Amino acid sequence: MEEPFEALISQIKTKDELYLLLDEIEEAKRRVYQYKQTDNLSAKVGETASVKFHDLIIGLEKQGVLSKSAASQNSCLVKLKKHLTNLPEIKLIIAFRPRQEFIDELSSWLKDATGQTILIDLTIQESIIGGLRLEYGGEYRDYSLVKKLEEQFQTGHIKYI
Amino acid sequence: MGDEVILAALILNLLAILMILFLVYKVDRALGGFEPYVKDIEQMRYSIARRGNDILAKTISVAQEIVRNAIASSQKNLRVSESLQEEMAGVMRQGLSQNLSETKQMMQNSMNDIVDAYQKQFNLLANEVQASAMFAHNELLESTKGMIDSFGASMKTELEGLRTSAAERISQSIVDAEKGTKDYQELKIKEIDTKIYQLIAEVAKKTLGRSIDISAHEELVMEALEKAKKEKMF
Repeated sequence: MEEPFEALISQIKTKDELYLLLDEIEEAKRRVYQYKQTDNLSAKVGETASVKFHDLIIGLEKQGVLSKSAASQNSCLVKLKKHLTNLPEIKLIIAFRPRQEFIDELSSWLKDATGQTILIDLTIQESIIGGLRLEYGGEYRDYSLVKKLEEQFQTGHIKYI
Repeated sequence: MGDEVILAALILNLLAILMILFLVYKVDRALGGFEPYVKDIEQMRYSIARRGNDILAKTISVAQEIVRNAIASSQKNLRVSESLQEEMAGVMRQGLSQNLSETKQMMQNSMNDIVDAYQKQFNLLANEVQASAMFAHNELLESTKGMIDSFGASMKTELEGLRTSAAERISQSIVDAEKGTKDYQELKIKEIDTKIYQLIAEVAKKTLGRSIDISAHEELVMEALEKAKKEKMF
C-alpha cells in the first residue's frame, strides 16, 4: 500500500511542504462525503487542490488505488496522512536562505546516505554565521562557524590589538 | 388377740384420765390455801403505792419552792450586777481619760527630745563633712599637680611612639592600597578583554555571515554533512 504513495512522497522534501500537503488531505477528506457518492475523488477536490496534489490523485485513480467509493476514498486519505506523519525527520539549522535546487540536493544527499526519504525541518539562523547545526536520530552536531570562532577566542588564537 | 390389746389400751387411757382429774383437784385445793396471802399482798401493794404518791407530791412541792427561791435570788443578783457594771464603767472612763492626757504629754516630751537630738547630730555631721571636703579638696589638688607633672614627661614619650606607629601604618596602608589598585586594575583589564572578545564575536556574527556568498554557504553545509556522515551520524 505504501508504493502507490512513493511518487508523492518523493516530491515532499521539507516539513513546510508536508504541512501544506496535510492541509490538502484534510480538505479532500471533507469533500469526500459532500458530493455525489459515485464521483471520483479528483472531481470532488476539483480546483481547490494544488496541481501537484490533483495530479497525484489522478495517478492513484489510474492505478486503481482510489475507487469511486466514498468509504474507500476516505480510507485511502487516512492511510496517506498516517504514512506522511510517520516519515523520519532531520533538523537542520543554516545561516542563509537556500535555493530550491539546494534543498533538492540536500534531500537527495540524505536519501543516498540513509537509504530512505527524510523530511528536512529547516531553520535559518544568521547568528551561526555559516556552516550547519543538525539534529537527527537523537544526536546533535554543531559545525557552525560561530562555534569555530568562539573556540578560537577561547584558545587565544585570535587576539585584539 | 387384737380385741384384748384394744381393751387393755382403753383401760390404761381411762386410768390416765382419772389420774389427771385427781391432780387438777389437788392443785385447786392447794391454790385455795394461798388466797388469804394473795389478799394481804394486794393490800400491801396498795398501801405502798399510796405512800409513794404522797412522797412524790411532797417532793414536787419542795422542788417548786427551791426553784422559786432560786429565781428570786438570781433576779436580785442581776440587779446588783447591773449597778456594779455602771459603776465600773464610770471608773474606767475616768481612768482612761487621765491616762490619755498623761500619754499625750509623755509623747510630746519624747518628740521634743528626739528633735533636739537630731538637730545636734546634724550640726555635728555638717561640720565633719565640711572639714572632710576641705581636706579632700586639698589632697586632690596636690595629687593632680603631681600627676600633671609626671604625665607631661610620659606624654612626650607617648606622642613620639604614636607618631612612629602612625607613620608605619600609613606606609603599610599605602603599600596595601597600591596592591589593591594593581589587583583591581588587572581584574578590570580582564573584564574589558572579555567584553572586547564578546563585541568582536557579535560584530563577526553580524558581518561575516553576510559577507559569505551563497555558494560558499552551500559548500560549508555539504562539508558539514560529509563530516557528520564520517562520524557515523547517519
